[in-house]
Amino acid sequence: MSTVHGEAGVAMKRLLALTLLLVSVSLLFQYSPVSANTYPITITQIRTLDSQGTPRSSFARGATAVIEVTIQAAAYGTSVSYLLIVEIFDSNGIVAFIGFVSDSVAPAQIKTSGAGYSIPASAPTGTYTARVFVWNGWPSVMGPSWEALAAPGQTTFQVT
Amino acid sequence: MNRLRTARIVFAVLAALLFTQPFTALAAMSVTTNKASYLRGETVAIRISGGPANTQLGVQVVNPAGGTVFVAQVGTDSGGAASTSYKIASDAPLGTYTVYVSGGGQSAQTTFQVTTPPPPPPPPPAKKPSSISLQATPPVAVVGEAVTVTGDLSPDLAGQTVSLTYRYPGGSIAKTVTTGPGGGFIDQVTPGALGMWAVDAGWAGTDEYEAATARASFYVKNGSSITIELSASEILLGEEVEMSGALQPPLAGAAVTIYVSRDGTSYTALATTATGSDGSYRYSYAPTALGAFYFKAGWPGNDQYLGAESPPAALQVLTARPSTLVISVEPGVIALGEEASVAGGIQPGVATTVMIEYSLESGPWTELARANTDPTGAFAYRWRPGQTGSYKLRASWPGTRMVAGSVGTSALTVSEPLYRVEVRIVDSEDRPVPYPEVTVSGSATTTIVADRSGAAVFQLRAKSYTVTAMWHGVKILETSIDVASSTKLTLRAEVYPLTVKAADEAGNPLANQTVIVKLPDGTALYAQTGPDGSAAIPQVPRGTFEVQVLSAYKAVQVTGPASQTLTTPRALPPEMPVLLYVAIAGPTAIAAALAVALWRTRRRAAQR
Repeated sequence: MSTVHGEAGVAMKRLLALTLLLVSVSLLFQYSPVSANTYPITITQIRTLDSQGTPRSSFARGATAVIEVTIQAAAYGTSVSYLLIVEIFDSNGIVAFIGFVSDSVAPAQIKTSGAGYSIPASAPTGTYTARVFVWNGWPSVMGPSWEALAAPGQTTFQVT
Repeated sequence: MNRLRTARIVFAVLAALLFTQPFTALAAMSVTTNKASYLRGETVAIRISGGPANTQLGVQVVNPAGGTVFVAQVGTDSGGAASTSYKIASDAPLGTYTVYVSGGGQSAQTTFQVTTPPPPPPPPPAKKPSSISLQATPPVAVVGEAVTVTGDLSPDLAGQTVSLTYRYPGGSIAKTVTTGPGGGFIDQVTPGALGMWAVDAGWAGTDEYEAATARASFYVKNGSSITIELSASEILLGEEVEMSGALQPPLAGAAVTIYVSRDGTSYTALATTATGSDGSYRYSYAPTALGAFYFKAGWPGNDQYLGAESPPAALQVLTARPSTLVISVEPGVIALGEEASVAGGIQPGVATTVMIEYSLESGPWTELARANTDPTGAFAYRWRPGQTGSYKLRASWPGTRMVAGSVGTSALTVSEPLYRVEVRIVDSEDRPVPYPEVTVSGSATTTIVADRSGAAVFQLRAKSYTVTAMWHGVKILETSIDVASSTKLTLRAEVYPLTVKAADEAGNPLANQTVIVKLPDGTALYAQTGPDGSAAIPQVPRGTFEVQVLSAYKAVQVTGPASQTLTTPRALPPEMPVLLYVAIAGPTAIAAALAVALWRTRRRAAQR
């Protein structure tokens, strides 16, 4: 019995020690949970409007294209502060505009923000792409605590 | 055992929990760019590695001014890797850009540079420029004719090899020439192919000079010729001259330009016509001015034939020139039966036929002859009129197109023939009467002093004449003669011998006495009496004259041979000796006195 106990005890001790080691390593290197694609905010709509607020998909050079983004916070939890970024690529794939809004949204609240892009008269014509990000802040500022608060969205419009 | 088994299960669960999650801490997240430095417009490839697996990461690119120029949200794969890219705008500020990647509890950053393109590499040391000038002469050559290609290389380098490539339709010829002093070169080619020839000259250059090329071109065509002929070398103003000629080869429809010049040097286009099916052409032109005109014909050629120009053709545009016709008759007076030379000339000289007419005594004109002129316009005709009288002669010619006709006149007198009539005046003894004045009177009067032999020659027409002779103021002859031919006439005049006898009152002959016969013209005839007291005076005209012997005077009428006796005293005539004595005795006395004086002077001198 004592042998059994002894062998069992040794085994248990070894197993416990290994468990402790594993736990210690896990604690040491922080555990990174697998993204579950569950964001506290959802981008519900992205529209392009003219300066009069009329939805348009085509703009002449020299006009202002307003990228209107509607988000909705999850129904649970607490109010969330966010950084909403609108990034516009011209028809050559070059970043033509970055606009952003910092705000907070209460659980289940819907908010609509817009960024106006004044299209230069010399801008290339063609299909422009507007991407929308909702983050908790700038990566350069947030550092390791940076996280995305919503799945990115995008829309396109024509510049003529 | 149960406790052990339980422990084993707990361990297994823990182990499963532990190893089903990545240990990101084993490799720290890093971000890199594919290059350290970019140019505007280039794409920055951002690669993330060592990040949390399957995690959304935020990517931010910040420019040197702190502005965000790019954001992206990427998800890592199961290995913790992700990537994105970013295209640098063309107006992006230069400098250091920072790439921030955060998320999943980690962050990383890196930098890259946006720079301007590096300056182009410095060009290799520049060579000095060079050039070739190239000319082909003539620019349009006849096939088979040598074409000279001259060129000049700049810089002026001698001994340089210049390649010449002649390119012609269907082939080429390659040559090389060597530059001479000054860089010049020359070549000749005799093209055998029609068409445009191009000459490419090339020089490879040197370490100091760049290579150079040049091109010249020339055309090679078949030769052609064109002629021009005028219908006349002289025309009158207002008339037309027809020009004609032919193009060789005989091309139809070729444009022929007629050129005109007034000085033979400077030509202007007059008209353009076209060749017919045989290559010939015609053109008529009426000059509007007097003087010289020169014409040429030319055609410009075509693709196959070189143009040509004819030699000049000269034309004189004139007005009809006046002419003069001169006619003369030599001699102007002839006797019937003699010939007269009718001659003359036309100015300007022209070979033609002159009509000679005459009018006798202002009667109608009668054609006498037609005489041909020589090239100088001269003509001659010999005429023996058949009648006496005053003739007018007229020569005329009708003229030509270029020279107006003209008329000339002259005159001729044809008289009766003249005969040589020699008149010899003799006395009653048929001795010649010397130096009488012989007058022949007819339609005119002619007086000739006959010679010592009493002869005088007259040219007389056939008719009757009165012949008179005067001798010493005495008409010694008057007679009529009929002249019908040349003749010698001896006419006996009334001149007679006269014998004078001198005797004293006693009838004794007086010898050695001078007999003087005083004639009407003041002439005195002298004779000396002989021993018988007579003196003969051979010729004394008829009439009454004073005859003197010493102091005797006597009027003697001579009507034929006569003898007269004059009686006279022997004493000298009183009025004559006084002077004679003074004339003789005076000098004689003076001479004697001088002689005596001289003699006495010499005698006294001898006595001393």
